[in-house]
Amino acid sequence: MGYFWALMSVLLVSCAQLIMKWAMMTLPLVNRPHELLTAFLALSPGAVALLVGLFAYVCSMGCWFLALRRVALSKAYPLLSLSYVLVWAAAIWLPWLHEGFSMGKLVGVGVIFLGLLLVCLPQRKR
Amino acid sequence: MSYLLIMLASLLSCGGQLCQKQATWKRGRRHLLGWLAFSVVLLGCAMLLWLLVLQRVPVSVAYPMLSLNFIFITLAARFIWHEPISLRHGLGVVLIIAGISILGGAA
Repeated sequence: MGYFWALMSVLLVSCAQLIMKWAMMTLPLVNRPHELLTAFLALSPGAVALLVGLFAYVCSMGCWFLALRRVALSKAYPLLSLSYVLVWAAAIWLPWLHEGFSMGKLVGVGVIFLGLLLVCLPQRKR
Repeated sequence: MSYLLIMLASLLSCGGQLCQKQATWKRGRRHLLGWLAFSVVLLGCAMLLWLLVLQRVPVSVAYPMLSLNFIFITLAARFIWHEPISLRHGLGVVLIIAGISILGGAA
């Protein structure tokens, strides 16, 4: 059950990032605070998406807390590195974000993932 | 500039996590609540900066770069709490730095 909550947390945090990205793309730029405020007060789709994204982020922290009550941190931690790969793949694949694929980015994300696994996987006692 | 923002957001969220660790370190309600409150402030600032980053950088580049967190946390564990760092952990950190550089170069 602990792994279920950890996995839920990873999925939620990944969704939160994608939703927040879409929201910030849709909302007016931050250097136009007046327009940004107006969009917020009018509850434009971008503003609603931002709130949904932030809510998903808070939920993911809740799931992580539930996971840690059941599984040791060292066992749940490696799952977190999945979210980096998930967000990368989804941002390229989802049509409403359509971020470009490049070999260099793939290698970069792959190397980061390997590094995270080395850092996070529990150490075997000899 | 955008990469600087990512680094700052990562530093702030690390600061928030370190405050949580500090909160559990000593007994006492006041100590706990004070550090937790400070942690929430830092995490809030990190989130605001992050939203700014999302307006400037593709999320497929920016988000993997947040693994900077693991580097800062490792450094803090080593130099603030004097926790030992294994060879494998150190190698992982080197790979993360390399990956972020490659990603930054490719973007």
